[in-house]
Amino acid sequence: MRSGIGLFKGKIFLSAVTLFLASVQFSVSAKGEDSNLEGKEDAVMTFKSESHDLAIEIQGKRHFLALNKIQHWDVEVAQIDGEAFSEVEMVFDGGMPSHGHGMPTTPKVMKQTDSVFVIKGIKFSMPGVWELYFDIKRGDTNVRLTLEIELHYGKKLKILSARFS
Amino acid sequence: MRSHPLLTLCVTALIGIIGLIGILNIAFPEGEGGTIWEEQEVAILRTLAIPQNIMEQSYESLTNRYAGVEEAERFGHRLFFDEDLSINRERSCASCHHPEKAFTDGLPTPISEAEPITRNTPTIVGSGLSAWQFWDGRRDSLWSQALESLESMNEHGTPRTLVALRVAEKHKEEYEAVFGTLPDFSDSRRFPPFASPDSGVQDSDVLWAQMSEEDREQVNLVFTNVGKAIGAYEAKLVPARSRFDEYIASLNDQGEVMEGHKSALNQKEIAGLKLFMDEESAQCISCHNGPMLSSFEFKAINAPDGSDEHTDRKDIGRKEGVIKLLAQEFNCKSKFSDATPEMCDELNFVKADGMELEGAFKVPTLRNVALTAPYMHSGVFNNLDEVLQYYNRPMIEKGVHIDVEPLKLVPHQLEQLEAFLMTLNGGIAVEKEWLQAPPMEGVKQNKKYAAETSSINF
Repeated sequence: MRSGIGLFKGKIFLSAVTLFLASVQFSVSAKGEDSNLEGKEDAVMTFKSESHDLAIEIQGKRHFLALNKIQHWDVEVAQIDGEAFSEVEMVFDGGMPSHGHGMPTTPKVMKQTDSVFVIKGIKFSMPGVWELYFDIKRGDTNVRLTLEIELHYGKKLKILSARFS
Repeated sequence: MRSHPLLTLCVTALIGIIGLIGILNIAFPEGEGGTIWEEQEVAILRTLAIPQNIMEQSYESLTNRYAGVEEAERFGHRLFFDEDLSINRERSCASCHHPEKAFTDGLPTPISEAEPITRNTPTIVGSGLSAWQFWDGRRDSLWSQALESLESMNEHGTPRTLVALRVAEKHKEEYEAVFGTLPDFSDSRRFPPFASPDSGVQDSDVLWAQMSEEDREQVNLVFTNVGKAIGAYEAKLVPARSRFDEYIASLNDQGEVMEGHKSALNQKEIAGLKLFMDEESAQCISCHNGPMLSSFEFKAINAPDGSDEHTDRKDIGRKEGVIKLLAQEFNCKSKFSDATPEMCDELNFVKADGMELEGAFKVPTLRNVALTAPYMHSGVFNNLDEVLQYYNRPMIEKGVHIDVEPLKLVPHQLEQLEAFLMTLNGGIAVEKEWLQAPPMEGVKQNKKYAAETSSINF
């Protein structure tokens, strides 16, 4: 994991998406020939909120966003300008609300440094729409990033929405 | 502005024709040589085909270093058919796992001389590719699964020490060729035959507790090695390529059957495959995916459960299975496993709680599915038609979690789906000798299979 949110530095961008949704800016990139992130080791998703002065960078490791594969993600939390926080806590959860179930595994969040985490044991057990929750606690401030993503076999990842609340 | 009646009629007719074309396209897709698949669909289809390197996807080899070792496979093959491993010398693994039925028994639930067994005998074919064993996933390897079946009073019923003694008595040479020198078990005061921590035989746990720790370790080592030999044999039993795989191999990237190839599936079967893959309609692929056509995850479909006839409670499946998995002494992280604890991702991050585990059972493979009737964890459905009829109208109860919705397919679509499922029979990708009882001079074997397996013809 790189120090600071050095967005996309040193990476090849053949396809990137930048969208603004309710003050959230998110970008998706992958090293390689297309923007299909599934199974890529160097894929990155970044989400920024001006109003919360928060940037969250999620970097996939082996099997990133692949179906039916246990995967571990690096997550770095920083201020919008890339400055690291002195101390942050994070809780992760998710599931498929339309199917009435949570994650098929019990992912564990492990703190690497003050604002860098690794989430181990994420698994997407079926295609469809998944919601992922990243609860960030800084002192007395609690912020939740809710990602709504759609995964299908052989299709590119769709980020349906990203909300900070 | 008022529209002209003739224009309205034309538009209506056009919509009708377009709709009819859509329906016909599902029911009767283009035949041989035509484009009937989008590029993305071809990519998905290829994830369902059996790859050349399927053995590399084995979970068994994670914890069992003898998986893939031919001497261990051959030893396991003999143990699988050996009735002398059961307490009364009348039952072998093959008593319930019949090779000609893709290693199932054709019964709703197996015959037991002890307590009634309330779950259907699952196929062994391809089971080494799953992280979980048994319908509730209470074991996480084939070798560990075999150990439970050896000691269970409902199956072999053989206390742990007796397993080691029988192997020492009848299979010493084969054992030592694979695992090294057998301990000397001749002192019955140190090694009482009925000693076991978990067999159900009266006082076996007391006898086990009276043994020295060192002697218990020696028995455990031989016991687990027996499981690993059986696991190595079972892991070898992977499905062979079927007509479905031939069909996928015949498609080019544009979804056409390549020149010089004949379509391995007919139009009805292809229509069934289309339904199978349709995430908006039948949605089968949501759970039945990958080369084994199973995610091997746990899903609740609320299928009728025969267990109520024998017990006063409903079978809660994975909810109880995961508790047993974490408590049992032969899981991925045990000292008998050949994996290091950090390699045990499925166990390290297992979901141990949640309402969706209640009544959830492992998604079964669909490979060779026509041979594995009856179906579901309770063996409640006699044929595939009954299975599909249930999925069309599953039992939805208030307050009961269920992972499926009614398919709402019409009869001819159900027939198409069934026709597709019948294309998944490819048999087992091993030579015939592995599917029948091996010659065992001086060793009692499953009599039924010594006689019958010569007629296997997949």
